[in-house]
This record gives sequence, C-alpha cells and structure tokens, in this order.
Amino acid sequence: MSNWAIFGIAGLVILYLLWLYNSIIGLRNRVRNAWAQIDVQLKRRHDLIPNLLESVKGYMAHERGIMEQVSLARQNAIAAGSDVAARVTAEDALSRSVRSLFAVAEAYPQLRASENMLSFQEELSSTENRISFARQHYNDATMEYNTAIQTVPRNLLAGLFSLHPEVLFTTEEADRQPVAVKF
Amino acid sequence: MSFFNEQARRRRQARWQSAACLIIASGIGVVLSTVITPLLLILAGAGLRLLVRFNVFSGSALSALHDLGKWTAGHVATFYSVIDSLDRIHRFGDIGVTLTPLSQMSSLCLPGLATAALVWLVLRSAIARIGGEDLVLRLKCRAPNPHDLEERQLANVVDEMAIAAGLPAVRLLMIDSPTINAAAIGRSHRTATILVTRGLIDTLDRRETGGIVAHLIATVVQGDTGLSVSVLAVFQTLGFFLTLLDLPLRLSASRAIGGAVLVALGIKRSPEAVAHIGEMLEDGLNASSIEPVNRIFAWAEVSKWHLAVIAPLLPFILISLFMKLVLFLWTALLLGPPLGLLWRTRRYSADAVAVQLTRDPDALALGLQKIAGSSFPDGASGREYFFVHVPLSSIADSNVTRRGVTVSLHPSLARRLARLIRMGANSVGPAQVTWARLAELSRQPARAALVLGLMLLLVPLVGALAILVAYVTALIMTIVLAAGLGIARAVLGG
Repeated sequence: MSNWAIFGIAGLVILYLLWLYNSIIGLRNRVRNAWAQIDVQLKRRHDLIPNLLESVKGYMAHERGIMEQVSLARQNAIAAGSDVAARVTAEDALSRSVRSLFAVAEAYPQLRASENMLSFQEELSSTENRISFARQHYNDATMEYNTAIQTVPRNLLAGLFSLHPEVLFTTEEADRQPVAVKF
Repeated sequence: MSFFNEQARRRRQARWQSAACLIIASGIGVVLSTVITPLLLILAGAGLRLLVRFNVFSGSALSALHDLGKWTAGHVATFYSVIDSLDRIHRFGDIGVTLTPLSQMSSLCLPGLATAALVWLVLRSAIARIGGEDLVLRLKCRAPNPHDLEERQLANVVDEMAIAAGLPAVRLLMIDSPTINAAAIGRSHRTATILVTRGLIDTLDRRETGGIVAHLIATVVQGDTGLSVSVLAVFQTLGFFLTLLDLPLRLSASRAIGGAVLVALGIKRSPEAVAHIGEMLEDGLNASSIEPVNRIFAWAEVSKWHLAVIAPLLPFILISLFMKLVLFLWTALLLGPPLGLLWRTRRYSADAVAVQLTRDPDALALGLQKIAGSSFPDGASGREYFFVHVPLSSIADSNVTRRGVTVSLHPSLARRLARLIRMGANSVGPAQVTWARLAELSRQPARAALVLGLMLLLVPLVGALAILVAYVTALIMTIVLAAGLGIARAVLGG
C-alpha cells in the first residue's frame, strides 16, 4: 500500500515539474514573440519613409540636408541587420531624424495643411507608437519571465536548464532630449 | 507598480464572486426541482401505465411501476418525517434529527439541477455561436473608411493597443451614431470585435480615444467578452424557466419556448433569430409577463361559465405564480447583487489593464467623462454591458430595470475616476477636484464611521431579508413538492 502512495506522490511531483517547465517555456516564447513584433513594426517604418520623403520633396526643396539625413538613417537601420546593439542605435537615430523632419515641416504652412502630409504624419506617429508599444509589451513580458525564473520554485528549474533572464529595453539618453531644430 | 497590484486584486475578487454566482445560479435549479421532479415522476408513471394498458412489456413495466411507486412513497414518508422532526428540535445539537432525513431527499433536487445546467449550457453555446453579431446587424455597423483621416486614426489606435496587449489584430467596426460610446463583443479574444460610434471619434482626441480603446482591448484580453456570454446565459436560463411556467397562460411563451427548442436543435441559426429568441426569453423576467394572468382572471369574472372554463387551470396558475414569486426574489435579492459586483469588478480591472497598456490614466479618465455626458446608440438597449460606460441618462431604460436586477451592472463614473486618480491620473479637468474630494472624503474617519454605522444597521436588515426569502422559498417548495409527490403517488397507483 505504501508503495502505491510513494508512486502516486512521485507521479504528482513529476507532473508538477513538467507543468513548471512548460510555464517557463510559455513565458519565454511570449518574450520571443514580443521581440519579433518589434521587428515587424520597425520594418513597417522602413517601408513608410520613402513615400513620406517623396510627398514632402516638393514643399521642402530647401531642406535637402534633413531629408538626406532621414534617408541615410533609414539605410543604416536596414544595414544594421541582426546585430542587436548596432540596430537599436541605428533605429533610435532614425526615430530622431524623422522627428526633426516633422519639426522642420511645422515651418511650412502649406505642407502642414496638406491632406497628404496630415495622413503621413498620422501613419508615422502611429508607427512610432506601435514601436514603443511593442517595446513596452516586450518589457512587460520580459519582466514577467525574469521574475518567474528568478523566484522560487522556478529558479531551481531555470538553473538546471540554464535559462537566463532576458534583457529589458531601456531608453537611450539622447532619446530623452527634446528635438533640436536648426533653421 | 500599482496597476499590477490592482489587476491582481481584481482578478482574485472576480474568481470568488463568479464562484458565488455559480452556486446561487445552481440554487435556482434546486428550487425548480420541486416542479420538475414530480413532473418527471408523473410522466414516467403515466408512460408505464400506458405500457401496461396496451400489454407491451407489461411484466417489466408493472414491476418498474411498483418500484417507482415504492420509491416515491418512501420519499413522501421521509418528507413527513422531516416535518415531524421539526417538533423534536429543542437544542442546536438536535438539528441532525432533521438534517439526516433531509439529506436522503437531496436526490430529488438532482433533476432540477441537471435541467438548469443543461438549459444554461445550450443557451450559452447558442449565444457564444452568434458572438454578438446580432448587435452588429442591429446597429448597422460598417467597416472603417480608409480614406477618412479620423477613421484611419482610430484603426491605428486599435492596432497600437492590440500590439501593446500582445493580441493579434482586432476587428474594428464603426457605428454611424452621434452618441459617444464604444463596445467590445465576441466570444473569445480571437474573434473579438470592437464597435465605436462615429460620435466618439468626432468628439474625443487621439489620446482620449486611446484610453477608451485600451479599456476595450483590456476587456478582450481579460476574457470578459466570454464571461458576458455566461452572464447573459444565466439571465436567459432564468427567463426560460419563467417562460415555461407561463406556457398555459400566454401565447408568446409557447413561441419563445418553441424557438428555444429550435435553437437547441440547431434548426434556427441566424444571429437575428437566435438573438430574438433570447430576447423573448428575457421578457419572461419582465414584471409585465404577469399581465396575462390578470387578463385571465378578468375574463373569468364575466360569468360562472367563464369561471368553469378557467377552473382546471387554477392549480397551474397558482403554482406558476408561486414559483415566479420565488424566482423573482432569487434574482432580485440573491442573484443580482453578486452578479453586479462581479461585472463591476471586471470593469475596474479592465480600467487598470487599460492604464497598464497606455501608461496614461488621464487618457481614460478624460474619455470616460465625455462618454458620461452622452448616451447609447439606438438599438443597443439590453446589451449595455458590452459598452465602455453606461451614462446615467440611459440607465432608466436599461437592463438594470428590465431584468428585475436591483443593482447596476456598471460602475459609476465617480468610482471609476476615483480609482483612476489612485492609479495616478492628475489632469482630469475641472471636475477632477470634485472627484478627488469625493475620494478623500471616503478615507476620512468621520465618514468611515458613518458608513460603518449604516453597514451595522444594514446587516441585520439584509440578514432578516435573507431569512425571509429562505422561509418563503422553503414554504413554497414544500407545498409544491408535497402536492406534486401526492399526485405522482396517485398516478403510480399507491
């Protein structure tokens, strides 16, 4: 009789461990999915920028500098490839240059009023929002995952299967500064 | 971060309350057993007697009839022993004298419980299948126009919030109505739809719209759309049984029950038809469904001949009225409050999730204030709980009164704003000071003492009410059960 009890308890313990392990993997996959989601949104921005430049070109002939800057930033961001650190830097630079482009566009009344420009402004600010919301979701998911694998009892399993905490997104110092507009 | 705590607290509360709701809802099945058990016995007895009369399996039918008769007689005897035992209770320890025979009778409640559960399951699956599509049709919703800047902005906001919540893309539909409101429907987060009135995007700016949409996305993420299906199914189950009791009294009852059977068999499938039958069942909860009884009595007063025609119906009318009284008391006093509490808790929780998604409590606070000054789009009445907020102006005509539930299913604006302020909203506009003062007041000891005093007064009152309800319920159940079992024994040939 006591043998059965031991088997039963051992079975329950194994089931519990399996459930724990699966929950960790579920959380980790959510983190990875959230990371992929950021990529999707960055790609969307890359696709939007050429159209934006095309539509403002006529109005902003004197601002060739800023437009080239945006174009260059986009190319750098695409070229950064899979190196995460380089990519984050390049994308942040692209964000800043797009924001300065809009800041400069404020000085052109016709452009500001144009339906096309309004629509692009909406699309781009939505894209910026999507990127930051995707990052926020990534951070939320990562925090949950990190907390899970750093607290009892999951930390024991995490140590056994060498699961490491994921890195949180932090805002670059330069990103917190207001955009400087030079005329 | 306080909104994580807030969400965790809400989820814990909601679990307890939904468990309480389930227990009370299944209690209705127990009440109904008093009718259903004798009815089943009578039907079984009559069937067996027919078999005996036509000499089909008459041997086994006779023995089954005999066993059933003995079983029923045994329960009738137990029933009397319960009543007798009441005299023998002198101390609290003697309570076992009554409870032992009472527990032997508990098997009589099973048919009612099973029937209530089955009806609930069927109705729930029917409502889930149409997934709120009837509302889409009734409100004449349309897809957003990609060439309209405002609508494209809204579509972007919805996408952004879905990304923030880690959801796949959510369907967005527009309601062409000047009212300011928005709703989330669907049976799960995979099939969720968000409905937004044109008035909302005309009035609210991008930030406020974001707050409102975040609340709807939170509703979807929490699975509230699925929960609302269950809540609606509870109401319709109750309505089904009340309509069943009305069957000999009004014609519309037979239409509703017939429709429900067609829905259960899968013959009627279109969203409009299923929703219409659901509404007919809900009408059974309406206090005005008693009206036909009045008409019958009025007709009976015309002459003695009229009365003679009505006379055979009288026992049924009396039982029906008794059961209706009990079910009304159950909904109003026992089912309504926990259900309202549950739904309000989910709304607060969705507010907290919305703040987590936008990290901007002010966006939702500002948006809610604008919605509170508006009303519903036409044709949404009866489905208020899908919407972000129920403005005070439209409460009078809402499900709050229609379903005989004494409490509101939606939280008040002041409470929601007070909670948002606690989560960090600090620019709620000129009204913010007032709400903040309200929130402060609630924390003042003097007011707390007043509230505590009122609560102390209320507890014995509510207790007395509960005892009264239990007493009336027990009394009516006893009468109905005794009558039913008596008839069953007569049919079974005691």
